[in-house]
Order: sequence, then C-alpha cells, then structure tokens
Amino acid sequence: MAEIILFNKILALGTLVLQIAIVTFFLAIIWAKNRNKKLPSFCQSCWNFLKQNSLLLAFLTVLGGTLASLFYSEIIDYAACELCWFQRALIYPQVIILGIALWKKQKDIFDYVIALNIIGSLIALYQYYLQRFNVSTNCGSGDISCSSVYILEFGYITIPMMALTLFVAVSILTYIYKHPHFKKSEAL
Amino acid sequence: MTENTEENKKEHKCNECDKNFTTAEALEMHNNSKHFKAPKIKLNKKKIKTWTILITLVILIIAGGYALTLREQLPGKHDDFAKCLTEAGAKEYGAFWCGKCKEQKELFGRSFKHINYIECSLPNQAMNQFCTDNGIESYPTWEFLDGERINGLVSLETLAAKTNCTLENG
Repeated sequence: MAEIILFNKILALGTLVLQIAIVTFFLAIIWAKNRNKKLPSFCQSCWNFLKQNSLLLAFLTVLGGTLASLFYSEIIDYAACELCWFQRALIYPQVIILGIALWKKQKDIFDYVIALNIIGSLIALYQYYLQRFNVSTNCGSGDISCSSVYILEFGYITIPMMALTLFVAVSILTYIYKHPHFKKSEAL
Repeated sequence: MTENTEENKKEHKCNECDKNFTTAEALEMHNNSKHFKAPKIKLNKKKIKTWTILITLVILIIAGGYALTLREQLPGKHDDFAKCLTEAGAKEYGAFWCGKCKEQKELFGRSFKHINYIECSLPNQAMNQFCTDNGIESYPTWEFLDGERINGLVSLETLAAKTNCTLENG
C-alpha cells in the first residue's frame, strides 16, 4: 500500500513538473514576442537543452506513461474503463513511432503523432470533466465507471489529467523537434 | 624458398618488441596477448550532459515523491476531531476508486489516518462480501453508533453535530 502511495506521489509530481514546464514554455514565448528581447541566459540554456533533446524527451514521456499505465492495470490490478482504453490505444503506439523516429532521426514526426495527441487530449479532457464535475453526490457500486478516481493528488491531478498533460507535452516536444528554429523566426 | 620465408618474417614484424612472425595471425595474437591496448572510448560530452540532467531530474522527482509520502505521516489539522469521531463509533465505508471518497479524505487532510475507514471495493470495483453483508449501497457511507447512515459526501460540521465532537480550527 505504501509503495502505491509513493508511486502515485511520484507520478503526480512528474505531471506537475511537466505542467510547469508547459506553462513556462508558453509564458516565455509570449514574453519574448511582446518585448522582442532575448531570453535570460538560464532560460536560453533550458531552451537549447529542450531543442537538442526534444524527441528524446517526447519518447521518454510516452514510455513513462505507457509503463505507468501498465503498472496500474497489470500490477496493482486497477480496472481500466472504456475511455481509459481509448487513451491507452493512442499512447502505446507512440512508443514505437517515436522510438523509430529517434533511431532514424525523422524530423517530421510531429505530422504523424499530432492527430493521436489531439484525439487523446479531447478524450482525456472529457474523462476529467466526468471525474471532477460528476453531478452525482455519491458513487454507486457496479460497473467500471469512467468517473472513477483512482488517484487524486494536489487536489486536481487524476489519471486523465496525467494523460492530458502527456498528450500536450508530446505535441509541443515533437513540434519543437520539427521546427528547431521557430524560436528565432517566429516566437522567441 | 628460404628467401621467401625470410621476406615473410620481415613483413610480420612486431613494432613494439621487434620480433618476427611467420603469419599475420601470429602477429595479431602476439599483439593481443603482449601489447594489448584498450580501444579509446570517445566520450560524447553532450550526451553525458543530457543524461546527467535527465537522471538528476528523475532522482529529484522520486525524492520529492518520497518526501510527500513521509509528510502524510505528520500530524494533521483535524487529528483530535478524527480521533473523536472514531471513539464515538463513526465509520466510513468507501471505495479506493470513488471520487467522492477522495474528496471526503481531502476534507480531513493528513488526519484521515485516524478515521475508521472500511474499504468496500475489490480490485475489479465489485463490492466485497463484508460491505454487501452490511447492506452498503453507495460510497461513501457514514455509519454512526446509533445505526444511522448518511450516504455521500458529508461536511465536517455535520459529522461534528452527529457525534458531539468539537471541530477545531474551523
């Protein structure tokens, strides 16, 4: 039980870090665009790191997500609902797709995974809505419900929220990999 | 014939110790056994830096998760109230997958460990025999000493009123 709690906390913290990175990324774009200035040197180093390793980071993110979902269903025996299965079907192939892209150094991989990530984001968002804004005041026993909340950390992080963060992060990372110079020409 | 052999020997001379060998294989074996030099591994500094950053980040997240888990063991804001509820015979029937049970847990914060919580769900979300026998129909269900039951999320104020426990710190 203590191991499951620890695992939940680690995943939630990882999700939080990813969300902070996504928000910082957008804020940095807006900041640099509005002021037409160079980023501070620390941010510049972070940007360079991100640019150089975006595909590796995207691959590690989907690999981590896949392993975590398999851990929940196969080791802890949490039952996956229908919407969870749709999201899994959209995450799992990306391990292979991004793995091959990493190996072959395929630049345009964003074009292949963006559709999967958009559909996945919409499903994750819908499931999050079901979980958090479910009108029922109590949970009935019976079928495996998609409004089931296996994890609730920091008051808002649930499994669909983790999936949503993953889909958004992978979209951004693969976009950066496709357009490594968009910083200079478009935004930053 | 003899000249030819001499020529072969000269061709397979060891650069390190000047010994002559009849064949290239013999020279290679000699070099491998007597003058073996480990091949130089080219260090890719960029890759080392990348992996150092990634591994550090993963270690920090794991350490953070561990610290958060340890934090759960610290005293909570409603410890006395939660202990009082348990002493007054209040129990909560819930399921690990139930969102409302999670919200109920959040109301108590770290003090939830003092609540008499009964897990009703099997891993496949079916109800276990104990809760079925006790007539539980939904989660969370609060049961008080007089046998009264309340279904759904219950505020701390209501729990205080039902058990005559004092809710400290608001």
